Amino acid sequence: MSSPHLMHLTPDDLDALLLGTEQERVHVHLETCAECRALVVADRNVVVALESLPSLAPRAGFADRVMAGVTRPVAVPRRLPALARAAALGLVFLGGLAASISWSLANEPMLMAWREGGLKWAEGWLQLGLSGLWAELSRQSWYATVLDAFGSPTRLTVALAGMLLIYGAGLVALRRLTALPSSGTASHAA
Amino acid sequence: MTDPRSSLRELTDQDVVLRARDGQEAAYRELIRRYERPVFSLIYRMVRDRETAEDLAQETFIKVLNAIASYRPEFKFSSWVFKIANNTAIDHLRRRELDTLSLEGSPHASTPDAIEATTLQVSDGSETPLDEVEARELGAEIEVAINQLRPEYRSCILLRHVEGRPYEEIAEMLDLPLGTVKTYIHRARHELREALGHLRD
Repeated sequence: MSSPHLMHLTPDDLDALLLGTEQERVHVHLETCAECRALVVADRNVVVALESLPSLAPRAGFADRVMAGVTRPVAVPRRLPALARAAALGLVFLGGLAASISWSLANEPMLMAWREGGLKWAEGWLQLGLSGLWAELSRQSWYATVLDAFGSPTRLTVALAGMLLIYGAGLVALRRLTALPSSGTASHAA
Repeated sequence: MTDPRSSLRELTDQDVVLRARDGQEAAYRELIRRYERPVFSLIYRMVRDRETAEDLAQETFIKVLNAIASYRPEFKFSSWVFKIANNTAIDHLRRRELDTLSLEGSPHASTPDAIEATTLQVSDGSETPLDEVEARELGAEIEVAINQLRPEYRSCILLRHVEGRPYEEIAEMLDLPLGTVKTYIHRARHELREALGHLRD
C-alpha cells in the first residue's frame, strides 16, 4: 500500500491549499511531485483570475427603471408593541386614579357640599316627575276601567295569573324559534 | 441637515430592509445601489449579453423588492438576492437553450448514451466582433472560459470565487447538496485550468 504522501493531491487538498488549511503531507508530496506542483500553480492562477474579474455595472438609470416596476407598500406610522401600549395605558389609568384620590382628600368639604346639593336636587326632580306622571295617568279615560279591573283581590289574582301564562307561552315560543335544527332533522331534510 | 441616503449607507442590510418594508423609497434605492453591480455581474457572466443581463437584473430586483414583505430576516439578504438572480438567469438559459453547455455532458447523466446526448458544442462561433472586443476588455481569456462552462458550474464558480461566498451558503442559495456544490466547483476549476493552460506556456 502506498504511503499517503505519495498520493496525488485531491480537489479537497487544492481547496485546503487555497484556504491555507492544508495538511503537512501535502507539502511533503509537493516537494517530490512536479505534476502536482504544476496543478497547484494552475489552480491558483485560475482563482486569482476569477477574483480579479471586474465588477460590472448596468447602464445609468438602472434604479429608476427598477423602481418603475416596484409596488411600494403605503407608509404606515409605526405602532408601539402591545406590551408597551398596555404599560402606557396602565400608567395613564393609575396616574389618573392617584390624582383623583389626592384631589378628593384635599377638597373633602367641597365634595360633601356637592353631594348634599346633588342629592337634594335629584330628590326634588324625582318627586316632581312622579307626581306629574301620576296626575297625567289619572286624567286618562281608560284609567277608571283599569283601576276597576284590579279593584278586588280576586280580579287582581286572575289578571296576574293571565299575565304569567302569556309570559310563559311567549318564552316557550321564543325558545322554539331560536333553537338550532337537530341533525336528525337536517339529514332527514337532505 | 443629514442626507437620508448617506445615513442609510451606514445601516445593515436587515435595517434597510425594515425601512423598505415601511415603504421608504430611499431604502429601496439603497438596496439596489448595494447589489446592482454584483447581481448584474453575475447575470452578465451567466448569459453573456448586456441587454439581456440588464433585463434579467431588472427582473431580479423587481421580484426581490415586490416580495420584500415575505423576506425572512434570519437569512442573509445577499443570499436571497443572489438566489433569485441565479434562478432568473438559469430560467432564461433554459428557455433560450443557449449553446454554452459543457464538453462533459450533464452531471446527472449516468450512461454513455446519456452523456453523449447531453454533450453539446462549446460555441456556435456566432459572437459578434463587438462581443469579442467586449470580452477582451473584460478580461478576455477567463471570461471566455467561464462562458464555456455548464450553467450550473458557472453559477457555483462565480458565487465562490468572484462573489466570495462559502460553500454552505452556495448550497443554500442553489438548493443543492453541499457535496454537489463542491463537485461542481472542482469540475469548473478543472475545466478552467484546462482552458487557460496555454497561458502558462
